[in-house]
Amino acid sequence: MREYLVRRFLLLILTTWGVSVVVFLIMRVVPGDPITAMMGEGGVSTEQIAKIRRDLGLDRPLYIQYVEWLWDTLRLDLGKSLWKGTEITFELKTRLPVTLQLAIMSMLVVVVVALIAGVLSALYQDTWVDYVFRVFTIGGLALPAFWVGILVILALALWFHWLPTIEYVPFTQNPRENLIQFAFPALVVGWRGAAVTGRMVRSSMLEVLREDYIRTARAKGLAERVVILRHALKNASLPVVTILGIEMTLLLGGVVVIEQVFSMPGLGRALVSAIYYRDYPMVQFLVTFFALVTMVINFLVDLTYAWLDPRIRYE
Amino acid sequence: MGMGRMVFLGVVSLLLGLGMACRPAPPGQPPTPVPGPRLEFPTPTPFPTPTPLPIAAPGAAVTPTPAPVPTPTPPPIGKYGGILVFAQERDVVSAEITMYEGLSYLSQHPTRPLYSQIVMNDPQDAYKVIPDLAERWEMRPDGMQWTFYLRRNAVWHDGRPVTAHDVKFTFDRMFNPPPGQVRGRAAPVIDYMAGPESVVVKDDHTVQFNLKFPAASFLALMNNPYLVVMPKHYVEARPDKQVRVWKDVIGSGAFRVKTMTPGSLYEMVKFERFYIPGRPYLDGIKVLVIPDPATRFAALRARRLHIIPQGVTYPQAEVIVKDLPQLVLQRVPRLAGDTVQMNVTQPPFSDPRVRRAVALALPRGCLKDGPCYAVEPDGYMGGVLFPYGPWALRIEDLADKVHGYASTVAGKEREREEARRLLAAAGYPHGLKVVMDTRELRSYIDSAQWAIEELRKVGIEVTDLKIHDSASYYELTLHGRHRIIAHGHAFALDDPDLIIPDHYMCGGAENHPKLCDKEIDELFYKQQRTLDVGERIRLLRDLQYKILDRDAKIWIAWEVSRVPHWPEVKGWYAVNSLYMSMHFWDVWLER
Amino acid sequence: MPGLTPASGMSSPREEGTVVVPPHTPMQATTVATAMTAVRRRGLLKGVLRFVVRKPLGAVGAGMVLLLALLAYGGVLFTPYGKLEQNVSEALQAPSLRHPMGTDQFGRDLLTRIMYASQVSLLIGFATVVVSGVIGGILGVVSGYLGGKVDLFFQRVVDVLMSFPLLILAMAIVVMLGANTFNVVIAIAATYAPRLARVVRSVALSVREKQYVEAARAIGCPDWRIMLYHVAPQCVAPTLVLVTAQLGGAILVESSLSFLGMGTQEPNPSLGNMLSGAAAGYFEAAPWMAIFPGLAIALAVFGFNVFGDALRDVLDPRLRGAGR
Repeated sequence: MREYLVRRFLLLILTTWGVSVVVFLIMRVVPGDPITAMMGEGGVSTEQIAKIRRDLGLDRPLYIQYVEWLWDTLRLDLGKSLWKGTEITFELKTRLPVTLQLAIMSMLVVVVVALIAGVLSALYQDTWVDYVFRVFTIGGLALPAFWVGILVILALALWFHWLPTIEYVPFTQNPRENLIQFAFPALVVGWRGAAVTGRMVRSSMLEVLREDYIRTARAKGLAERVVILRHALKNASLPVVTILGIEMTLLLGGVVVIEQVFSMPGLGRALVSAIYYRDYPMVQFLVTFFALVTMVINFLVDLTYAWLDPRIRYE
Repeated sequence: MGMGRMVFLGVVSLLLGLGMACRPAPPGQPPTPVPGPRLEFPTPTPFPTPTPLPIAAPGAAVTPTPAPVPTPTPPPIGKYGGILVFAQERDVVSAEITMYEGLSYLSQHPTRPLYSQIVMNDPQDAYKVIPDLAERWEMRPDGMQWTFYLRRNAVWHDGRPVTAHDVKFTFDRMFNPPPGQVRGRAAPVIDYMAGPESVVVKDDHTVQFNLKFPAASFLALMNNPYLVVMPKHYVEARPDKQVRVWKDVIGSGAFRVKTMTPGSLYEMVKFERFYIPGRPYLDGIKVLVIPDPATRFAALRARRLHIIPQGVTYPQAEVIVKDLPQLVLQRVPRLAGDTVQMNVTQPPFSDPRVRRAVALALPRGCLKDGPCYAVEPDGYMGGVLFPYGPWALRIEDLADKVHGYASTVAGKEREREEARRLLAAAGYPHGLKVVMDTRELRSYIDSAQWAIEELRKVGIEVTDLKIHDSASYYELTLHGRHRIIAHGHAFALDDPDLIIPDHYMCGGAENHPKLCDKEIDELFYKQQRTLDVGERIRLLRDLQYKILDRDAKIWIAWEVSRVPHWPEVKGWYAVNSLYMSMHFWDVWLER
Repeated sequence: MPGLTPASGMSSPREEGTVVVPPHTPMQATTVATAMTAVRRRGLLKGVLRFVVRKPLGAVGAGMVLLLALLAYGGVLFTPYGKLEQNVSEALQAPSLRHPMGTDQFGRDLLTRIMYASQVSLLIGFATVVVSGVIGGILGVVSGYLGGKVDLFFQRVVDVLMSFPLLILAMAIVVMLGANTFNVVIAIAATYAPRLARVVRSVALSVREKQYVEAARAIGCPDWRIMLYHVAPQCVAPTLVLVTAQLGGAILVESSLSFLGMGTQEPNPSLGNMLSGAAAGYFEAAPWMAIFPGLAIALAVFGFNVFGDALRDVLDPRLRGAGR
C-alpha cells in the first residue's frame, strides 16, 4: 500500500511539472502577447512596444523566463498579473473561496441528489418515481448548463423582479445571503453530474439488488433499511465512486462556464480573461493549479476505490 | 463486409453533407422600406459657440491678463447620504488613467471619482471649462504661456497638501512614462510643449506652461477626463513608480478607496476633507462587475443598480421606454461611432475610385424614408468631427451634399449606381472580392456584418470576415496588413486637436487607413495655431471636406448614449463624452 | 475480472483504462466483440430491425438524430433565405408563417440559421469522435502492444493531457490555433483522445497475451501487421461504444466553447454562438433568439445520448439484465 502511495505521489509531481511546461509553451506559441493585447485599442508605436517588452522582461530567452517562473513559484512568489498588475496571491485569496464554495456545493448537489434519486428510482423501478427521475436525467444530460443558467437569471429578473445579490457576499459575512447567491449556480452546475451519477447509482443498485445475498438478507428478516443501506448500497458504490471522480473533474469545466453566466468572481472567470488577454503569469498559475486539483481528485478517488474494493488493494 | 459498407455509406453521406453546406446562398430580397427610427431622436443642446481667447493687439504689453473664468451652472442643493451603485462588464485594467493602459472606460469610470483634474467640464456642458484643482488661470496675450493658480485647501487622501509640484510631476510622467507604461489619452496637450522643462513651478500653488506656439485648443485639451493629477510623494515612493492597482490609489477626489474584490466589487467612500465645502453628497460609491449585459439590465430592473453610465443597447432602451416608464433614460448624442476603414496603401483600396465606391455604397445613419443602421438604429450622420460640436460640418452640410450621405432611399440607390460605375471604371466590372477584418467585440462584429451586406449590393463581395482577438487585431492594423476593417471609435472630448492627429495625419496612432497627405497635415497645423475663432472654423471646414474627399475612414453613424437610471439619482448629467460625468461630487440620491 | 488482469504490480483501475466508460460497469472486450460478430453475420438490415424492436427509445433517439440531419442538410435546400442574408426591416420579429422561428436583430431568419448551425454541430460531433477515435485508437494500440519505453512515454503524455480539465484544454488549444470550426474539432478531439487511448491500451494489452498473437510473432510476422490485423479489430468495438457516448458531450463542449467566444466565428452561425451575447441582450424583445438554439442543442444531445445508450446496451449484453 505504501509503495503504491509513494509511486502515485511521485507521478503527481512529475505530471504537474509536465503540465507547467506544456502550458508555458502553449502560451508562448499563441499569436500575440500581453503587450499587443493591451495595445488592442491601437495607438502605440513599435518603439514603445519594444520598451514595454524590455521593461517587463519578455524579450529574454524562453528557458530563462521559464526557470525564473519555476524558481519563484517554488518559493511561493507567484508574481503579478500582467494584465491588471495585481498580485496573483491577492487574486487567489479573493477568488479561491468563490470557486471552492461553488465546487463544493455543486458536488454536494451531485452526491445528495444522485444517491437519493438513484436509490429511490431503483427501488421503485418503473413507477412514476422512476419516470420523474428519467426526465430529470434527460434534462441534466442534454440541456447545456450555460443556457439553463441564462434562462434562470432572465426568468428571475423578468417574472420575479428579483435577483440574488450581485456582489459576492462571503459566508462569514452573511450566511443566508451567501447561500442564496450560490444556490442557483450550484444547482445548475450540479444538475448534469447528478444526472450521470444518479443513473449509475440506479443501474448499480438494480444489479446488486438481484444478487443472492440480498435475497438472503431479506429472508433472514433484516429491516429493509438495513438491507438497502448496509448491504446493497455499499456494494453498489464501487462503480459510482469512479463515475463521481470523473464527474468531479468535469465539474471544474462547468464551474468555469457558470462563473461567466452568473458573474461570479472566481478562478474560472479569471482563467477565461487571462487566456484572452495572454496574461502569462495568471494563465500559467491557474492552469497548473487546475491540473493539480484534477490530479489530486483522481488520486483521492483511486484511494477510495482501493479502500472500497479489497480485491484491488492486494493484486 | 458489413463494416466496410457502413464506413463507405458514412463517408459518402458526409461528403454529400459538406457539398450541400458549401452551396451559395440564394439571392436576397430587397428590403421593404420602413419609416425612420423607432425611438425619438434626442434633442441635442444648442450648438455651443467656442469661447474666443483674448488676442493681443500687435505691440501690446506682454503682461498676462486673466482669462475669463466662467462660473459653473449653479448646482441645485442636494440631499446627503446614500451609496450609489453602478456596474460595468469587466475589471479595472489599470488605475493609471493618464497612461495608455487606463484607456478603457472600464478603468476610467471607477478611477475618476478618486482623482481630481486641473480644470474640468461643467457637469451640464462639456465645452464649458470650470475650476477643479485650479481656481483661476491666465493666458499671456501672445498665447504662448498659461499660468494656473491652484486651490490652497486641496489635500490628498493621506492628508498631505496638493501642490504645484504634483502637477509638474504628473506632466513629467507624461513626457517620460514609468517602466512598462506609455503615454495615453491624457497626453495630447503635451504635444504643444517642448518637454518637461516647459512646465514650471512658480510657487507651491502656481504652475506655468510654456508652449511652442499659440495653441487655440490648449485650455480645451487641459479639460480632459483622463488628465488627473497624481501625488508625487506617494508615487515616487513606490517601487515601480506607478499606481496600477485600483485599491492602492491615493487621489484628491471626492471619494477614496474602501475595498476592492477583483472580478466583483470596487467600493469607495466619501472623502471628508474634499476641497469643495459641502461636497460630496453621497456617502459612497460601489462599482460592480457584471459581465453579461442581460444580467446587468436585470440588476438595474431589480434595483440592485442605480445607473448604468456606459449606457444600454437600443433594444434595451426600447424596453425601458415601453415597459419601464419609472426609469429615467438620458439620451444625448455621444462622442463615439462606428466606421469602416480601408487601407489606402494597398490594392484594391489604393485606388480612390474603389474607395469612393465604398463610401457611396454605405448608408449613413438613418434614411428618411428607409431603414436605419441596424447596429445603432438611433445613430445619426456625421463626418470627421462630432456633428453637434462647434467645429464640425453639420448634418445639414452633409446630407445629400457630400458623397455617400444620401438621405433618401432613392438617393442612396442613385449613389449605388454610381458606385457600380466607379468599380467598373476602376477595372472591376463584375464586382470585387475582398477580405474584411474586425475585432472580437460584439458591436464591431455586428457592424461588420451589416457593412458586408451593404457592400454586396454594389458588387463588393466580402469573401471572409476574419475576427481577431485584440492582440492579433492590433498586430494586423499596426503593420497595415489589413485591407478593409470595421472599427468603432470613442473620444475623450470633442476637439479637433485631439481627434484629427491620431486619426487622419501621417503616422497617427489610430490612422488605420495609413492616410498620409501633406495637404491635410499642413492645414491641420495651420488651424492649430489660429486663435481667431471664425477663421479657425473656416479652416476646419475646409479640412473636413478634404478628409472626407479621401474616403479613408467612413463614418457609418455616430452614437446616442442611452443611460438609464432610477429617478432618485439626481445631479448626474450625460454629456457627449462617455468619460466626462464620473466625478460624482455633485450627485445625490433623493430618498 | 477475467481477461483484464493488470499488467504488473499495484495499479489503479483508471490507469489500466478499465473503468473509464460512463455510466456502465467495466465492459469486457471479448463479449462485445462477440456481439459485433453476431451482428455482422446476420446482416445489417436485420440487425437494425431487431434494434428498433428491442430498444424503442434508442430507435427514437436515432430517429431524432436522422431528422435533425435531414433538417440541417435537406432543409437548407427548401428555405428561401440565405445563411447570412439580412433584412433589417424585418428585425426581431416573432415566429410567424414567413419566419417559423422568428428573426434576429439583423432580420435574419432564425430557422435557416439554426439549420446551418446544426450542420456545424453535427459535423463537429462526428468529426470529433472520428478524429479522437483514430488518434486515441492508434495511440492505444501502439502503446499497449509495443509496451516498454514507448508505452511509458505515451502513458506520461496521456497523464499530462488527462490532468487538464476538459474545457480548459480545449480553450487553450483553440486560442493557440485560432478560433474556427476546424480547430474546435482538433481541440475537442485532443481532449477526448487520451481517455480513449487508455481504454484501447488495456484491450491491446490483453490481446497481446493471446496465443494466436504469440503464434504470429513466432512465424516472423512484423509488428505492424500484427497491430493492424490482429490487435486493432479487437479494439473497434470498445472504441465504438466509447465514441458514441462522447457524441452528445462533444456537441455540448462545442457549444460551450462557442458561447465563450472560442468556436465558430460570426457571421457563421453555430448553436453556441447564437446563444452568446446578442441573444441574451435581446431577450426581452425577442426571447425566441435564445430559446430555439438552446432547444436545438438539447434535442441533438438528447438524441445522441439515447441512441448511444441503446447501442451500448445492444453491444454490451452483460447489462441487459440490469434493465434501463
